[in-house]
Amino acid sequence: MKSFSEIYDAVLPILQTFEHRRLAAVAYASKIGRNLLLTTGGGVIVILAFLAASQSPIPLFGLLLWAIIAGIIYTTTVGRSRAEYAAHFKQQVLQEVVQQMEPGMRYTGADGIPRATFDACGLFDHRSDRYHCDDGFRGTIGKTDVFFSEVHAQYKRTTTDSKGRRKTTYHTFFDGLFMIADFHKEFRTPVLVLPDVAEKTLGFLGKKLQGFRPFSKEKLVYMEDPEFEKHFVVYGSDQVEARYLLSTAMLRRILDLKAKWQDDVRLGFRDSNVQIAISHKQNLFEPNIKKSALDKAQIEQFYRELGTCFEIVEDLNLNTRVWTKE
Amino acid sequence: MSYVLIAIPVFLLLWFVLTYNGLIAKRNQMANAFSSIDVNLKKRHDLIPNVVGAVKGFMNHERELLEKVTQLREQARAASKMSPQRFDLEKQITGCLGEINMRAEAYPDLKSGENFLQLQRLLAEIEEQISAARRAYNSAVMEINNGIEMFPSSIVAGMMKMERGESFEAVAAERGNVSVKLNP
Repeated sequence: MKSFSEIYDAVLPILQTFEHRRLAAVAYASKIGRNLLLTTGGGVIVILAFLAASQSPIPLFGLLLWAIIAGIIYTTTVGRSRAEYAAHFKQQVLQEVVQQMEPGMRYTGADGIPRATFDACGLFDHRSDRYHCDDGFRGTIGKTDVFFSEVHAQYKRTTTDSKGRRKTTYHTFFDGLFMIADFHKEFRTPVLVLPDVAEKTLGFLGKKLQGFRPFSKEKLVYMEDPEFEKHFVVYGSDQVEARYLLSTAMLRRILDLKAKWQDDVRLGFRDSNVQIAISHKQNLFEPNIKKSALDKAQIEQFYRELGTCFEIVEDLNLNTRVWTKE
Repeated sequence: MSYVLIAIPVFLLLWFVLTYNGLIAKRNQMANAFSSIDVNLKKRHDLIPNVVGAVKGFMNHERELLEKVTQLREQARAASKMSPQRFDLEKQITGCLGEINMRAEAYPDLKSGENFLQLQRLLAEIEEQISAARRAYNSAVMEINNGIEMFPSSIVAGMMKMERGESFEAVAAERGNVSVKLNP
């Protein structure tokens, strides 16, 4: 992979054109803000004059209404302008950084992991009632086909109080990076690697509870690595195949991946792929309009974030093709 | 009071049935894992003539090694399923296949050949499957031994006259498996 300075030099011509765009977007936001402030200030003067003449509160309500409208105008117009800047920035700058780092990969924008695929992954206890995906990347890293994006998924909970009033609330059950990568071994049955919550909190009893899945095809698969067992629980319908996928080296790699991201990591093996869900609260790949487009630190941050995502393929050793699957 | 008198035997019966079935399931799991090892060892036996056939044209100086692996294969096929002799032979086969792979490094024409590469991949896969089956077997043995030794399931296991399982010894040479080195 190229070094950061090589990539920055390659992206610089695009960044220079974007700096003009950014300045224009900032100037547009200032202009809108100034105009709204002026009209609001004028309104205040007029209302003060009215209040001096009569005690009616109507002009005050009018001013309040105008302040709300002004706020909406500002956030929608300026927000749209900033969103457009961010979208164009990603389409061109991020795309170029990606191309320079991994020529086989491309940025697909909002075309991320489809909701149906996410809901069918089996890595979570909920299906999504609200789903948003952003910043998709697709292509090949080495010999491995990869597709990933940021995903924010929520489930709905409806409660009824003692007076019969229904209240619906949405709760986030996944916010982070979701990746689908071609797995290098052939397999028939799905295997799930989930965080070990029960055993961690309830000990031996928790382990017994984990094993109690009378209506599920996927049964508990006990791994002999105590460190891995401390952090993860594995379910699969074929005890031998689950261990074939999760070799002792792979168990270590998954532990290292968790240590690297320092977050909740889940893996699902199905349909010849490995699906990796990494919770990550921080919104990745977001340009800051307040910073110069030429700002090296910002591009370096993209470089680091992308590098960490691309490295998952190597972290899990997916490019090794010593088995029969090409 | 009468409810308690009914509930206690019902509970005991339910516990007995669940424990009994659990122990049977564990025993079956152990047998299944063992047969997976056997199946994969047989797959490896079937592959040995192909490996020998693929390399003998190139590795003229290694005739002794090739003859040894062929002989070991025949002996392993003839040995009984569970005998220590069989596992000793399999261990020797693992060593020989590793040796063939290592010596193949000295024959550039051989190691770059598509046929040999494919065989190497197959062998690597079989070795991984053997390793997975062995781990599954050891895990099943541990489960069944826990069931036999831990109270109160030990009572049911005693009634069933269940015997402790023996786990595979992870011999260093076996753990190393066939070292597969492929060209980039």
